[in-house]
Amino acid sequence: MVSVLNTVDTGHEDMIHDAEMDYYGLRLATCSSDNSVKIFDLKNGSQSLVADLKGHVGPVWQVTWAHPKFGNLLASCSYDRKVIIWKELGEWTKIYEHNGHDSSVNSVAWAPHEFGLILACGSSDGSVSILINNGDTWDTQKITNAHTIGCNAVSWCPAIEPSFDSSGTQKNGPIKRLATGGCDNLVKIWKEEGDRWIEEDKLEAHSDWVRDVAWAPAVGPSKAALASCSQDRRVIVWTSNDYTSWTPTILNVFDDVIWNVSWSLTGGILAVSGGDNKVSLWRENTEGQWTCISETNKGQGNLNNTDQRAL
Amino acid sequence: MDENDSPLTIDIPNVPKHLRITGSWVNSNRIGIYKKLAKGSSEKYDPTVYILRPDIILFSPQLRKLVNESNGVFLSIQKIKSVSGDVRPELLKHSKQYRSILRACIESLQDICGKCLSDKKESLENFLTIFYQIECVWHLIEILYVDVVPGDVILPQLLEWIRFHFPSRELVAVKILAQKTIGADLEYPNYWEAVIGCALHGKLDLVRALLALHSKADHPAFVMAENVLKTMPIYNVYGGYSIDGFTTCWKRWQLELCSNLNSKAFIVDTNLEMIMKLIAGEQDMLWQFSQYTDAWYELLAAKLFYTSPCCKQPELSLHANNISKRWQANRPSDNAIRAVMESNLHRVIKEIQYMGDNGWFAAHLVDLLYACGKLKILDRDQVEVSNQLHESLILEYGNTLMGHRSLWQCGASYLIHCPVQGLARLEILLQSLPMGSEARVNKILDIARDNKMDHIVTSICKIQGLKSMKQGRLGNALAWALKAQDSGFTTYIADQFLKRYAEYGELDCRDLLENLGFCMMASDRLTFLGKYCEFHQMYSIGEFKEAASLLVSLLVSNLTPKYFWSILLSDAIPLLEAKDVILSSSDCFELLRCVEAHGDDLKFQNKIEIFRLAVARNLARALSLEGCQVEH
Repeated sequence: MVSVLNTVDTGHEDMIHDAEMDYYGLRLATCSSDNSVKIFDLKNGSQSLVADLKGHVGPVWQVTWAHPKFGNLLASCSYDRKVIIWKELGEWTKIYEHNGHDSSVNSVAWAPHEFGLILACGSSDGSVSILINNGDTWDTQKITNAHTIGCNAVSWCPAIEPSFDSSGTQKNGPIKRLATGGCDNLVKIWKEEGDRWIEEDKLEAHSDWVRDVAWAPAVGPSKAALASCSQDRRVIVWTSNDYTSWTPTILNVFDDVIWNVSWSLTGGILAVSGGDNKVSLWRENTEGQWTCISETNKGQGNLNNTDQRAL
Repeated sequence: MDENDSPLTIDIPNVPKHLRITGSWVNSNRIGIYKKLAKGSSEKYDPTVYILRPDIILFSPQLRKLVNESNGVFLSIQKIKSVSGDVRPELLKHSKQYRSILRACIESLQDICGKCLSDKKESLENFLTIFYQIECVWHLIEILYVDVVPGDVILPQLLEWIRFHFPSRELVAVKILAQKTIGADLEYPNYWEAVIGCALHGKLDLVRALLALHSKADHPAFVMAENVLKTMPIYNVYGGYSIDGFTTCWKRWQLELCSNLNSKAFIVDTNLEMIMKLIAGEQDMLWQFSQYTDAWYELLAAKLFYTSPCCKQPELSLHANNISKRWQANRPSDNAIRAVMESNLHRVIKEIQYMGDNGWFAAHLVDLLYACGKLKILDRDQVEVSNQLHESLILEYGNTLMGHRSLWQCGASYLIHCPVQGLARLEILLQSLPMGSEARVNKILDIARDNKMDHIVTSICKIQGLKSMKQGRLGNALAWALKAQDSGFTTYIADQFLKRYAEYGELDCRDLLENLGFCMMASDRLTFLGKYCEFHQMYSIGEFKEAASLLVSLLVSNLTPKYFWSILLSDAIPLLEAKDVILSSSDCFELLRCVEAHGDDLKFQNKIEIFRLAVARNLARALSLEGCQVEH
């Protein structure tokens, strides 16, 4: 059985676009069309509002927590073309505002903490910018024309020790890689070389806008995995042993547009949210097949058995 | 494996049709769900975020002991795996330990169940069913896979298994026998039920004893029955004769019984006659008596006992199939037992994952079978996947426990024993554990250190350091920064100490700073802080000579932060003016050089004249003293 652990009444005045828990699952950040970002403490099933952050002048699409070793840090992106980085310094304050995009910023993601404090932002202007913290200042790198018409999602490749990385001939530790999805129906893989980002791969299989991409956490064998979802109603899991050839596996063709894909902390289980009001959980069995193990929806359902089966 | 499994569906309350929901993973085992309003809807928006978590029964306090104790057995098995030689007897012992932990758990659940209120009772009864079934299946697997059955004739063990799990009718029999009343059939309404129950379980001694208490026990029919039962050949591997020899003997005995039945020798009592028909191996009678059994395998044992007493494991499958099919048995435990008897481990593992125990059974059982070398699982392409399956079940179980506030350590011990993915998962999960008290943080650090996850140690110490900083506990923060071996962070904290001193004139946490020892080398700034602290210590106990030489070495060290020059220079003044000459002429030249280079700090302006004067006076004294010393 699955039960509802918390219900958080966020008090947002308009639609919530994203809700993210911090690293420990103790705090919740939400953002909404009411232009605000809110932070809640969740303790023993109760909630308290810690901060109501106002700084954006348009709907806020996404929020993301940085690794706690950098302090309590949150990034948000909005239709107002801005990316704001907030930090808890006694009170929650805006510590940086990034104004490098000409259109709505749709997605933000912090790099794996091993690389330092680095944020990637994908925008409707088609570009991806990368903000690198240097103590008190932030440097910017930019991938212009990453996706024609717009970039909808960004996701970082986990930091993998070069020994696992067959193409890793560099001696300077793990390579930074980024996956992006866009309105050109493509998923692209980018790799940092020197201070430039080069397009390492272009994954073609979707037939409509790619809505979300998610890099699976690295556990075990040196196989990289990436999930993408699209308005073509498909979820594709891409795998590769060398980051150069990628094998797509269509996880499923759904009844409606798929908006989000999310990997569980240790990989293995993928949560898929679609326009049909369902969030379903998928896992790969020992035979390499993807099966739906559980599903959350608004219709009638039966509550039987929630074992996560390996077979 | 089974494409017909329908996924579980969970409802989120109050989600109207036009809403769109989104879910994303929160932690190791939680999902956050929120709603989005579809375009063009005029209804009021409900800004609620739901956080879902699977109900893990293993997290119930009543099952805590089971989880912890079975962890001990699991770890002990991991040690055996590395031992060479015949480990089977050891593993059998461990299998029994697992079962005794299960029995203890069942007993304590029964205890609590008897005492508690009805609302809790339901879930406790559910636990009871789950663990009772697990123990039953485990016991059978132990007989067929872990134990070594002499001569491979499994009936004696099967009967023992049945008797152990279905004791009720034998208990009635013992109760009746204890009264020793002649005419027990008239006294006890359940007399025949007890006799039949015992006959089905092959407890012939009890059957005979009961029949002897019957009101017509002296009747020739009963005397003959007693004789038949007494002479029934029972196979015993150590009995001294071969299976063939036994079978001939048994067939002869059975033929004689059949002829007696044909001549209506037992007609005086219908029940007696029915029992004798069962004993003669009549199939119809077996099914007539099925009303006196609780499970199909009870009937199976009776069938084997009276129709093929020398049945070996490979033949078991056919009998099991026939009986369970006719019985229409369909509970997960029924399917699991059938699969065990069919020697289809693949199916057993699949079935036991439906038992609702959050993977406890599958993980521990598969690990035991793996250690026994009995796990041979092939996938659809006939590739052996036993290693993967073994690891994946233990990973899942460990993963599940890592989601609990206090069972996470137990969970970690399972992950550590997964050679392929275990450590990578542990690495991710360890970092996501909420920290809490210092004792808890140290436990997390210990596990990270034991598994050589240095960067996790560093990152956790850093986070703790930041937290201490935020609470204004500088000393604590410094201790964490040193543990993290993060020189940048150490410098930052040392700076905070010095800045506080510059502002308030007081050094915090003197005891820590005075005992830094070798750690002082972690960063230049910390070295400076430590040495400066030593200077204060020397000064306060009157060791002015020592203090002065420390101060001079600090001045020439090039480690002094800009904001601290005025303080160092001011500290020199009383030493210059001391009664005895402490600072040498060359020290004075150093001081003058420093004040030229760094004396421009605004805070030092009102002291600069005094400082120069003090140096001049000390220089004069020092020079004349040094001059005298040269003459001598």
